Amino acid sequence: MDRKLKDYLRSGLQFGLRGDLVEYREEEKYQLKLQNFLKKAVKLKIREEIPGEWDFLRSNIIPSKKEARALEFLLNIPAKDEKKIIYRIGKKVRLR
Amino acid sequence: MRKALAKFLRRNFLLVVGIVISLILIIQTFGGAKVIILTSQESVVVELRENGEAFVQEKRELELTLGINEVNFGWEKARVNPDSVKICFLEEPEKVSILREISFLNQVSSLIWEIDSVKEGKELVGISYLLSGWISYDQYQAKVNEGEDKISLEAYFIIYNQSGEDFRKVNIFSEDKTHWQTDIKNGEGKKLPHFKAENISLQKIYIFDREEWGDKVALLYQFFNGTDSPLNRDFIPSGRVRIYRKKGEELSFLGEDEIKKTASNQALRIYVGKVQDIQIRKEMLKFKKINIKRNDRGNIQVYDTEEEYEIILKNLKDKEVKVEVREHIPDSWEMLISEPKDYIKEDAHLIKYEIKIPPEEERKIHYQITRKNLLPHQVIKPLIYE
Repeated sequence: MDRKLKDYLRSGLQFGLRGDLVEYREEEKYQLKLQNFLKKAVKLKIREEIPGEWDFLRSNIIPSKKEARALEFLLNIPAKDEKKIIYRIGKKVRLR
Repeated sequence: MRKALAKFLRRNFLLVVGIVISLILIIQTFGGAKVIILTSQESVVVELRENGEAFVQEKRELELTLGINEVNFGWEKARVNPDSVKICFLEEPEKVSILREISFLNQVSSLIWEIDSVKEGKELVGISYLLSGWISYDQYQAKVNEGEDKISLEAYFIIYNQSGEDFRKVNIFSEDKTHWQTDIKNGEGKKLPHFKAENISLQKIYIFDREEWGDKVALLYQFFNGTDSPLNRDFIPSGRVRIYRKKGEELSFLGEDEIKKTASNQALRIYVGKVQDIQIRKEMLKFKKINIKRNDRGNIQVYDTEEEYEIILKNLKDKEVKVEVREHIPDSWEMLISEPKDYIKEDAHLIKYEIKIPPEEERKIHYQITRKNLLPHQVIKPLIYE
């Protein structure tokens, strides 16, 4: 499996009364490339542990499970083939 | 003497009673059983695993009597995982069954199987267990032809036995199921021929990646493991490779690198060294902090940058080369201008240009980025190294 952070964007800046940065948002896009080198098809459950406060935005494959700290995907990969999971999440970062 | 004995018995009454009861129980337990000695190994298979452990399968013969038989299996100094030891019957399993397996807290390197048999005579048994203390890895020798368009790869399997057990005519299987039969004593190492492939097509790849190989252009050899290649294996195990180049009858040593575990139909890349005849120069044309936001006390809270860079590549060779230029751009950024336009965004913080340079010519990469919403505690450096 090859896992890559494909996009990263910091936005949604929030400032306090005295001009201090108090909160911002991070948007992250991940790509998981799964290759099946076996001579038979496989069924996979992929669990992505995601710490912190975040919300799921979208993905090319609907997650089979969404938890507070994880996403799960179920995938069938034919023999000698590959599949990609691409998902996007938003994280809220509070500074104070 | 008698007094001393009486005193001892008075003081250790419970201990003595315990020992007597244990002896009675042991006699009752094994009273009717015949103790069977395991014959020496008929054959042994050692399947090596990645974690320094091996799955060992032995075949031995038992001379069984009718009724209860007691088989003692011990391993003394061998690094056997006691929980993993199993026995099975290979010839007439329906006539033989295990009644009990007895292990001892104070003697962890042995156990006893109590076997009920309705047959008399020989029975072939399989004993399996996990044995730690193995070191195994692959070591490669790569030889490139003078024209640097073909490569041969020889793999050796290196194995060290520190398991505490000696093996004779053992069948060793590596992770990729290659099989060797050899002797290997405890404390001994062996170098076994693993696989060999010749005349593999080779490509020379030039890469500039400052984070990986510094300020010079690196040369890598690329070749394929797959169905269309003389190198065609389910996977190539990881291991150290020594690279040589043939010049007439002589070999010159080019360098060493690590081969990563590579699956079928995948490319292998090995680093050869840095080249002097492709020169690279990077210039920073602009680095400016903009959109600076401060709090009431005047401390910077967030800012953007505007950055512009030029990379000049010069090919001093007498033939065309293709150079992969990798630029690492940390944090949150956006490309504003890029010449050439077609760059590959490998991931959020790495872009890649593929530049063809005719012999004795130079080419330029010019790009402008803005990094956005940078935080003051982050160390944001210009993407320059001169």
